[in-house]
Amino acid sequence: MVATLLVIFVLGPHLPPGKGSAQAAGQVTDNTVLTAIMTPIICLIVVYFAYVLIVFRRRGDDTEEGVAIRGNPRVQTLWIAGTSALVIFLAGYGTWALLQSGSGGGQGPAPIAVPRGPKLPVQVIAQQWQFTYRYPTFGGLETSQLVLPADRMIEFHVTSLDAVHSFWAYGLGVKADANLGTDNVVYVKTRAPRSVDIHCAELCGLWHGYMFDKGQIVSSPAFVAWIGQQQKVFRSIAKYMPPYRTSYAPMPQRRAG
Amino acid sequence: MSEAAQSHLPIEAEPPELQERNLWAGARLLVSSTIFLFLPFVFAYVYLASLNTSGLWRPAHIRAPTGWGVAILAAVVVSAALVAWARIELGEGKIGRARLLGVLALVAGIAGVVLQAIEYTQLGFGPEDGGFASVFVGWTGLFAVTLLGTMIWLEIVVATAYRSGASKSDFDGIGFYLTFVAGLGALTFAFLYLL
Amino acid sequence: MNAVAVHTSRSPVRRLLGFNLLSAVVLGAVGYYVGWWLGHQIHATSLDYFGDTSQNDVALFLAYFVGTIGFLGGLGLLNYPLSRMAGRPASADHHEEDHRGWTRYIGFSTDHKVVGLQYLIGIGFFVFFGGINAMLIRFELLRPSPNVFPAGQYLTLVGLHGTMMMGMMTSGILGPFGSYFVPLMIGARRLAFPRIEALTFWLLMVAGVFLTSTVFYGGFPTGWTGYAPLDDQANMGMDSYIVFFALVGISMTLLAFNMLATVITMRAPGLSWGRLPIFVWSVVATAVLNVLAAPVLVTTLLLVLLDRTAQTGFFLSTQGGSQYLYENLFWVFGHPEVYILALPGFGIVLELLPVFARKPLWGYRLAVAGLLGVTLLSFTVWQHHLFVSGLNASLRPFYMLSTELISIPTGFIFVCAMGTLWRGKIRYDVPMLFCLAWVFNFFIGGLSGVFLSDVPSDVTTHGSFFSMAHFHYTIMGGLVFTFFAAIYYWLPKMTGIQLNDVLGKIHFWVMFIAFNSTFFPLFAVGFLGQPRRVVTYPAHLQFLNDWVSVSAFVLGASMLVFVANLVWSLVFARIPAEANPWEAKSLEWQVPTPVPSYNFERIPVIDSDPYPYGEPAPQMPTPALTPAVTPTGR
Ligand code: HEA
Ligand code: HEA
Ligand code: CUA
Ligand SMILES: [Cu+2]
Repeated sequence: MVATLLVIFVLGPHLPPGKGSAQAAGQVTDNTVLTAIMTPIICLIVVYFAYVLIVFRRRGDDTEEGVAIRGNPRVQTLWIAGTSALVIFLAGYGTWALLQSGSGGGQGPAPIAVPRGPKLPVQVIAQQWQFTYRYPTFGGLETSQLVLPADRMIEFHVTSLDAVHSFWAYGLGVKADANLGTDNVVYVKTRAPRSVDIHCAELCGLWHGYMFDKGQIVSSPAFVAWIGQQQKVFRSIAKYMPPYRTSYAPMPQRRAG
Repeated sequence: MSEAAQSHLPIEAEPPELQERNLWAGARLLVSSTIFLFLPFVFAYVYLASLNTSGLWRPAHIRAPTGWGVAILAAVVVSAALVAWARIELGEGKIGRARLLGVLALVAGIAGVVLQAIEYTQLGFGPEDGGFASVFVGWTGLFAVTLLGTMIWLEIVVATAYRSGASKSDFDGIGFYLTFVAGLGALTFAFLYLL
Repeated sequence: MNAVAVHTSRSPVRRLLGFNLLSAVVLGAVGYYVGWWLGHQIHATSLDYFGDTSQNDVALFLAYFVGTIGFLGGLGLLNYPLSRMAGRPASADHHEEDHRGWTRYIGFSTDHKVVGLQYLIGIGFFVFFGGINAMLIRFELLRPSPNVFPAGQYLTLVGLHGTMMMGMMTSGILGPFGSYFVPLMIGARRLAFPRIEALTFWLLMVAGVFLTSTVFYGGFPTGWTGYAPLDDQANMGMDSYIVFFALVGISMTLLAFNMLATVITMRAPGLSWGRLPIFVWSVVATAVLNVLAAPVLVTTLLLVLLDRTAQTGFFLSTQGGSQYLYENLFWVFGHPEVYILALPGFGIVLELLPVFARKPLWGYRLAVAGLLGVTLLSFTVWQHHLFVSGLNASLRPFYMLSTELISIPTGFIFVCAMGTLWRGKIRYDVPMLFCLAWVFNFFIGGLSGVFLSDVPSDVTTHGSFFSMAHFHYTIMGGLVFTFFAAIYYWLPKMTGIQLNDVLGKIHFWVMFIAFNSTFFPLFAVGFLGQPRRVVTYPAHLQFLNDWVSVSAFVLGASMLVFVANLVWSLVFARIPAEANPWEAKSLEWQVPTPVPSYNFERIPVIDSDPYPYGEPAPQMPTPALTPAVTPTGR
């Protein structure tokens, strides 16, 4: 009991990935719930083993044998019922949490959990070995830096130009694989301005380990200013950009030569 | 068995039906493994057809040559049927007939493999021509290899029947497996030539 | 078969000729070059595509293929099939008096006890190699930026470690202990297909050499999962991975096939399914998984091979294929694979606890139900590895549920272990310590699996060191600890020599503490955001990583204690072991040490389960006293 409370109130807030977004906060709650449920099970089993291993140890060179009990239907039934109940609860809770808004995980081209209200679409294009970002509502602007407005529902579209990558925005609680020819959709509601660590979380070849980046969540006015400035910078090349699509036909895939 | 006798140990000989039961169980286990060996092709077929990525599942000009498909399937089915017949003859004690049928079955089965090899030169498309072409080449290829392996087994049974006496359980084992392979051939045919 | 038996009277030089390891290696090398040459002929005429690169996958595949045939031929494994093809009669060829002395351990042998020891040594060797790779990985991760290995070499190292460990440890229990003890435990004289047994072992060894050879072809960048389309971009080192895993798949299938046939047809009279030792049950369950899942792996790798050589496009979305097809197929095999690693461990724990608690196994039926439940469910959960892949979002609740359902049958194993200890007279011998460590480690590993199975939680932990810590807790903490339990428990029977107890205890405690100190912090490292398979990581994680690395080195050192124990006990001290040092009542301990080549003089008749501890009833009838009965297996 005590341990469980400790877990909920002391450890809970420190569980990852922090509360950088509504989805991340949801994951923290989820991790707290899981840990809290497991704590009593762990305590129970640890206490049981400690007791048994001490009390029923062999003393000296005793050759006596244990008691020939081969089972106990009551205990067995109880155990099955208890673990089943737990599993059903965990799966139920997990499903409920998942259906809120997809929990920050990539849902593919046909998301099942779509939050209501307006969303800002942002495309994440992964390639060996960097991420770039396109803002379709701002003329298909493509930048090498991720900047997002605070307190907005973002709709990420993650795709790849080559191998499988995974867009992992740690502080936002977002992870979605980037696949060639596939649009992987994630919803995330940003909160206060902060910076966000971004990693590639799927092995994508030689420089996979170097495929990391830092994104920024900024206030809405700052975002508008930033976008305007970027559009100016990239104006000259805008006409060479391929039109925005949810996925892009790749360069030749085969090993060179 | 003979070794045991030589070593002068007072241990009893192994009952001869043990090897038969092993063969019986082995043939059935082998069938379950083979089913899972081909499962990926069924999955790939259905999955890639439903995705049709880049519109390249099956470009219009790609048609599996049904004539060849029928010929290969016929060879396999005939082979299995001949072995089934041989088992019946063997049951009636007609060892000579059974052996001959075994040889014919072997010829038919090998003809299947050869036909498959020739078909590859007559396809009109190559393995690189999209999802269906890939599945076609992979599936028929693995099937041909399986068939070839089965024919080696059949060859062993037939050769043993000629030189060391025909055994019912040997024929039963290969018969069971070959019938399964024929069924697999029919499945292959249905997916690749009919659908 | 006679070629091997007549060696004794020959001169040393003559002895080198014939079917033995030396010829095998020579023929293997010849085959390799023949294949290589052949590949270049094909290359020259038809695959102009590869033009001026040195990358010729066709040649390498052919080299591996012909090399394997040559090796097996040199060992003498082809003699029997060829003689059968020439029409010679079948022979069971077991308990043949083998006059080769110790050299039979380095050649083709059909004695399941020889093969069992061969497996133990062979797998031990490659697992040790995998362990050295792990040490190098940890050495590299001492610093947040590359310090000894550049990125490409690091990836090869991780791939080599993961692939080697997975490939070898899948047969880690079934190979050595399954081969050796299943016939003894079911009262049989041999395995159903002794030659196939030998084949599986040698295939595995060939595979191990091939995988290692990847370093000569530039390594491979994909880790043990070999995801497409990266595996199609990769250079020739990838082919080593493909051939390795395909050979492992074939070897696993045949090994399990043999185990199943043996248990189905060769049980001693009276040994009904309800009396089968629980270890044998776990072998059966594992074998079922092997026989069904491993062929999927073989085919999947065949498709990769075709993509790389014949230019098919199974896994290339630019060619009408899909990388998701690969991910699905790999995990259809891959998930059962992880239970192939876990189940034999369950069996060993439940087999040993009764011996050291001096009590019958508690809840035998429940334990069997647990094993079979895991077997069944493990085919239904594979997409939990793809929770963020963008595949089938609508199926996630299903996969979440099915994955968590596996906790229930796994829980059965735990409750049976708990019940078995209750009111026992627990003896803390070394094997027992390893079994108890399993309970602790696997519990943590299993619970962390429940975090992963929960989609919202998995969003953070997928592809991070959390998942890596999870599977090292289940595999290293679960399987490898029981592997050592089995070694300490059964090696005295296998070699007739006692292992040093003090060194054993030192090994255990150092390993147990260092293991936890290595992998527990990695849960935190993953939670804090370190991705897997990276040669660089955020600087603030350096302290944790260094802690882990140092612990890992201690863990590695504990392995040296073990090796020292082996060398000391088996080579120098050589204290003969008692025939039944643990006073176990199961059948394998009732035969003399060393086990005679025919195992049982008379096939025993079984009249109780193998755990009659604490019961007034007389002990198991000793085999020699029972009347001669032919095994009917019913
Ligand atoms: C021996 C090997 C082994 C075993 C036994 C397991 C067991 C389990 N694994 Fe694990 N797993 C791996 C090896 C293993 N795993 C590997 C190698 C990978 C990574 C592959 C890669 O990506 O490279 C992996 C990855 C992996 C993932 C994917 C992570 C990701 O990449 O995002 C998931 C997700 O669901 C998962 C879940 C589970 C679960 C739920 C179990 C369950 O079976 C655990 C059940 C056990 C318990 C729960 C404890 C005992 C139970 C009780 C005491 C009963 C009471 C408890 C409850 C009711 C909760 N595993
Ligand atoms: C059987 C499975 C197994 C085992 C036992 C281990 C054991 C260890 N592993 Fe490994 N590991 C994997 C399977 C395994 N691992 C897999 C599948 C991956 C993923 C690869 C990928 O990403 O694709 C991985 C990845 C992996 C990484 C992540 C790399 C990365 O993502 O960047 C790390 C890093 O620390 C690591 C470390 C270790 C360490 C320190 C051990 C230590 O426990 C090692 C200790 C030493 C030994 C276990 C050797 C002892 C053996 C003997 C002494 C045998 C003697 C026996 C006889 C002679 C009879 N492993
Ligand atoms: Cu991109 Cu890893
Ligand atoms: Cu899994």
